[in-house]
Amino acid sequence: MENLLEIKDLHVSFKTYDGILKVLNGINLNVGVGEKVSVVGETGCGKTTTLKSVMRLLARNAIVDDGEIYFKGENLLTISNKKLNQVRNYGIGMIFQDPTAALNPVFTLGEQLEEILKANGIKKNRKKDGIDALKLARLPDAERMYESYPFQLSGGMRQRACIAMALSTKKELLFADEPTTNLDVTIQDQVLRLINKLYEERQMSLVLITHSLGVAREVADRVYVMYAGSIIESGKTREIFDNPKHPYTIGLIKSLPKLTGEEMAKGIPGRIPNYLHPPAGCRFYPRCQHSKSICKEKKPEMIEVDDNHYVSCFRYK
Amino acid sequence: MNDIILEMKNLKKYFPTKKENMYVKAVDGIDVSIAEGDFFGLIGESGSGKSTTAYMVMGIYEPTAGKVLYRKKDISIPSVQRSLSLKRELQIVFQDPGTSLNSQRTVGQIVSLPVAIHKRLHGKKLKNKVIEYLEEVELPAEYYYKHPNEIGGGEKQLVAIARALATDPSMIILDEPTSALDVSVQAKIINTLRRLQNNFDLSYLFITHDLSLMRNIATRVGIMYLGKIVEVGPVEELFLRPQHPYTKMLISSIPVVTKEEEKLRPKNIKSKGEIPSPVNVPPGCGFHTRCSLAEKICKEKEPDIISISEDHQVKCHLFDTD
Repeated sequence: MENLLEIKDLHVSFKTYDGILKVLNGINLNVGVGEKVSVVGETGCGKTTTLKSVMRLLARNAIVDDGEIYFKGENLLTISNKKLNQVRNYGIGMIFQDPTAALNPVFTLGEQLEEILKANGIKKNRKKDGIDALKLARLPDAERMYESYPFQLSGGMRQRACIAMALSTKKELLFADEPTTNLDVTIQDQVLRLINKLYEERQMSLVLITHSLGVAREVADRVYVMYAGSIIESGKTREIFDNPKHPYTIGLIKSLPKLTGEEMAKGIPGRIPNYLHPPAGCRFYPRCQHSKSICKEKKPEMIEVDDNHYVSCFRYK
Repeated sequence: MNDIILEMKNLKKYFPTKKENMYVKAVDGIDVSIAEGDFFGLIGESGSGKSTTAYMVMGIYEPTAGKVLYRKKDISIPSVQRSLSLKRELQIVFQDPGTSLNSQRTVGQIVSLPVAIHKRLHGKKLKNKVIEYLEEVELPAEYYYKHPNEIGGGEKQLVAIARALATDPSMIILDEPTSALDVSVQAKIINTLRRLQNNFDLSYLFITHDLSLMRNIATRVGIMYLGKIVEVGPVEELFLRPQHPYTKMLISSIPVVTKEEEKLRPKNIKSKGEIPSPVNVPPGCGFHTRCSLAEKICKEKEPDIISISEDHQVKCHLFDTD
């Protein structure tokens, strides 16, 4: 499959008063044309930082130490701002986690949509295009919604409005950063179905970031599992869930409460490491039951354990 | 069956709005009884009135109508009027430990307060007792001197649990205690709660929106929608044989991780619509606007509570016998 997005050995750190936080520790990630990929990980593992690096939206204190990000063969980290805006307008769309924070509370949805369309260089019929975008996101009564302020909408509706804005122009790749985290389960189900439908209609590629393993399994063809700034396992969705290899993935799946009522594991002891002084070697070893002396010294490489199933752990060698 | 420890009878809470004669019907007539030693899960979407219910039990809100009974005694009074012994018996753990713990105080000070008030201890005895409670939730003694901002989210919630435990209560209300936490941490908190229930003979009222979690830990479950309880029953029964269309919709919406779980999700039902505003509650059955099986009667008449088996009740016209 042809790669639409390719992240190679990305290292990102943040300057703070306390010192330098070494967050991303060599991310390698590919998204093929027409592929649905999910990045799963717990709070603070660097999922959003990865996406923001691609969009070049990182905070000012962030430093990209190393790595390359290719979108359709062009390195996004080095292209001009003009070209970057092209990518943001017509290449990659993004839905953020908290729709309430992503929308401006003092402008109507219509005004915000028109601004986006204007920035995209559309001069005529912006109102019609805006209403079409709202209809695309299956917002009921789109004409009235166009005149509404964000506070007049429910959480699910606001997220639909954000989807409308991300897709108001045709995009090749959609980034969805925890699009359903603050939503109720029945609304989550509807929003995920909508994203899936738009993926098919628009023939895009999709990167879904989530902390919920269930959501990733529902949507993605392929899954990347992240822990403390590294990809620790990747593979086809079914492979990852039926046959997890990394101790962290195994622990995470076992810790989930199941509908079958199957006994839950006792969780994973400890917590995510401090990025000021992350453990050398494998960043998971302080929490790992299987850690050996080599884990403390060397960062494990990605090893292909099965067809397209990669894991970064010294247990598999 | 064990004695009933907590009972709510036709409990209602209406909040006035700016317009006259318009009310937010947060809780609109619920009947719940929780037996001694139960782990009762109250499940609902946001806006269904589950937290309001918890606050009425704790006396933070005064009910508009109806009663809360604790061991057959009416406790529908504000918490300032409640006796010290009643406050000791009923404790609560809130959703967000970041805001429910005072960031200016140390963990020791936070847990000391209830111990000092209810056990009249001071000095060295007080400190030892507090450390005992911290150890009970598996926090090391050195946490006594830490501030909440120095510890992780899961550990903060353990402090909140230790504080609730410090009065030796009989019942703890848990208002979404794990919804702000990651799953690996959630599992630890849940295991602690279970162990404490055994060690201290506690009863729990656990408020949550997470159905899979309740499947694992609750003994009985109530499903709340728009201020009313639409289905209540033993956990296994309710998950294996859900009856109310809303319960089915909820279970079918859960994203799962195994094939075995997939089989348990009701097929032929799709989630649609959103919970209506509790100010303009639809007439008849509150769920008819989202229900694919709704008929004429659902829009006109509120359904009665119908018993399907001894302790499995459902509030839906589909089960009308006549």
